[in-house]
Amino acid sequence: MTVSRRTLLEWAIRASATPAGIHFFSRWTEAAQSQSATAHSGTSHSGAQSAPDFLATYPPQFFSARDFAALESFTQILIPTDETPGAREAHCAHFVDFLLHSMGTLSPDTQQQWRDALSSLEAAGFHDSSPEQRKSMVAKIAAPELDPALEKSPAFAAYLLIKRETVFAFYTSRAGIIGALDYRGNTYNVSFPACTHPEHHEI
Amino acid sequence: MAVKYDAIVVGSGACGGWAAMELAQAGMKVLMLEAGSPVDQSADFHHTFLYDLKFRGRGEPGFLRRYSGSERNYRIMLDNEENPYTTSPGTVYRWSRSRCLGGRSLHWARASDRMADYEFKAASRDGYGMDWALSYADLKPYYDRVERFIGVSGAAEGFPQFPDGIFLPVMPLNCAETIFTAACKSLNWPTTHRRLAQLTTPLNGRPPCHYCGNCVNGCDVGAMFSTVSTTLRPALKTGNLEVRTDSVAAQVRMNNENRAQGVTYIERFTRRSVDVDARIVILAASTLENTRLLLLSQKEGLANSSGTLGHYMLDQIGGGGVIGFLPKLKGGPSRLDDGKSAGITIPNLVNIDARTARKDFIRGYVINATGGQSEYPLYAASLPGFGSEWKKEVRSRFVAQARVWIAGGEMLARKENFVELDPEVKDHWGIPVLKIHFSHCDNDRALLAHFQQTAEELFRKAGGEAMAMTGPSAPVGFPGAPGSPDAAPSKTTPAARKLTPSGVIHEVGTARMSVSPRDGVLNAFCQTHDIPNLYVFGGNAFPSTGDKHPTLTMMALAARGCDHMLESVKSRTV
Repeated sequence: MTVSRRTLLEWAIRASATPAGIHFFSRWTEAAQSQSATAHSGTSHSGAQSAPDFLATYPPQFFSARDFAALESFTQILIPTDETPGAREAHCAHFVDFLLHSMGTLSPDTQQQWRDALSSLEAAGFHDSSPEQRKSMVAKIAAPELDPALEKSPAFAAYLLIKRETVFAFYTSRAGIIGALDYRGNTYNVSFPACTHPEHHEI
Repeated sequence: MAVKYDAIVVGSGACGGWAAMELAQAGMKVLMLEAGSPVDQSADFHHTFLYDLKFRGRGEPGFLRRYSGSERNYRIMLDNEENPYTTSPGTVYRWSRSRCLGGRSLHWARASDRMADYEFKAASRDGYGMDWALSYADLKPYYDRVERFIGVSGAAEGFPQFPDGIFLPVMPLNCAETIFTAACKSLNWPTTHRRLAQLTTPLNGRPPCHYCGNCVNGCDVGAMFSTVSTTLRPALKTGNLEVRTDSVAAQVRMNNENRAQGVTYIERFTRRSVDVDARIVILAASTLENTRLLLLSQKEGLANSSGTLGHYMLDQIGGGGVIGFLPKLKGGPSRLDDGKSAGITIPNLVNIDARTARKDFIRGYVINATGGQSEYPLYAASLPGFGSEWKKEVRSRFVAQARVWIAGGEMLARKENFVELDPEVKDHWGIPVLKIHFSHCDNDRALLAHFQQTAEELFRKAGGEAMAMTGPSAPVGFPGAPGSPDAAPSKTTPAARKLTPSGVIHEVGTARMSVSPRDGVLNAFCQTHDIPNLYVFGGNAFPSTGDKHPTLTMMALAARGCDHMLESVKSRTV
């Protein structure tokens, strides 16, 4: 099934023609560009940029403020900030919100999935828990991933959904791919570095 | 028409660009028609990280359902809504196309391997299908000519099933490729670096590769061969070539002396129909588009006295492979691993001679392998757990990624795989579209299964840990993601699952070459048997796929066809 021309047109108009849409889209692109401009400058090859201004006061477009705060917290438990940047520096929750908002009327099922996911976390008491309680709550919800014999709580689906999208948002961000993984590709090089390890020549 | 050209070339891909260059350099007045937009490599192509893109490579929601390709390269691909095609019930075939100046030469895999006589004469050896109407010796001078001009990096090895060419210095192996090479040596299998139309030294004003790894998004400096980087500039320099982009060819027009008179095209935006005339018409619009044009040009198809036009459609076999990790590399330092966008090649190991003959299938396949860092850790989402320990594990595996894939599985030519004009569906310009009838046979499945066994053997020998390709622990990608696995629905390990063959965008055939006009559409010069001033360049002529990537052979055929054309013009036989 393909999306009709009309749907696409409606989507494009909705996304770019509303004042908020224009503002948001241009800021997002700007932020991405300013990050990429500094991506491989100088000798530093680690760390994330500080948050672009607009994200500091970013109003969630898809989630309620309460759900968004819970989502942010959840993503930061999944990918914490430690020696390397985490979901916080990568603004994973913001990206998820942006993506779902951008879907407009195209993917009601996906949007509903996310609403349900946040509802199941709410039902589990995640929203009202302390940071420490939240950590142990996520560990409990996630346990069947490591041991499929364990019983899955209603929030297990939410965990998988949020994890999948957080991982995507994180490792496609500069904080994730450069800051956490030190990816060296997509650069200008004089030569290609050959393997210099004698142990790799032997099986 | 006021102007009559010496030649019209329909299409600007690898073959169209080559033909335009050779003919213009020979003094012919050439018109090139391209259905898509102009492309300027330095203005249009840039290095981008996924975070530079608004939707991180996925494209705006819904957008990439319309375009093939990714958020990065959709512009050098094709608008599927303007250019639909249909398939018969039961056919699963993804026809990946490109409409822009340069066509698929802008994002191709650059693999440039020569076919060998054991492929050209396969039918004589195993009794299936039809031999090519030429031998390696006939094509060798043209392989030489094309390689010299486009620049192919690689190493001469002397493998009989993998003929050497004229090579620029070979690229170095990364760590994963070194380990796979060692594994092949211990299995006594031949290996070499992939032979790639990617410069390692400057050539004809083109700079060498800078190892960014962005090849499939268009090379910003033209270190990889494309029409735009390589053949178009010298062609335009002659002053003999006129290029009309946004010009959608609709049919070849005939005169009443059984000669092609010219081409009718439709202006892409105004939809005005324009007739252009020439002494010679060359179709180089990609294999299936060429056949579509022949079908559109006359009832029952132009140049179809043999009745074979549209039939014996082929692709090479995809659908298997192994992905996972090389434990030796886990936790190692970051290195530039994917900057070549390359890998190693293991030439075909089966059905070469009596010793390697198989009872369960005929023909062969080529294997490729590589590994190391990539621009997105495809495995991360399916790696169980979360938190700092999980992050460390993702990092540790990032440099240890490894994959083995099938590079040229030979599919058997069958008449019942064919294309025809859809009786109802038309494209954006009102031109009937192709309907594709395509399926695989038992031999194709047996060959793929054998590839899978061999690939897994290689992976084990290299000490690799394979990941499930599908199921709960399979890697999770995103549509259009570089390296997204093209997985079949199954929950078991690769060895146990029944593989479903797919295509690999190597579609060939549908106007095969033959010695006798009764058996095919084209002769060994890619000239139609029926109409002397009509040539078809691309994969159409292939009576069989062989196990090599097809583009270099298509270009060598085009170069040979151009020679023939120029001689015929001189001797006035065309």
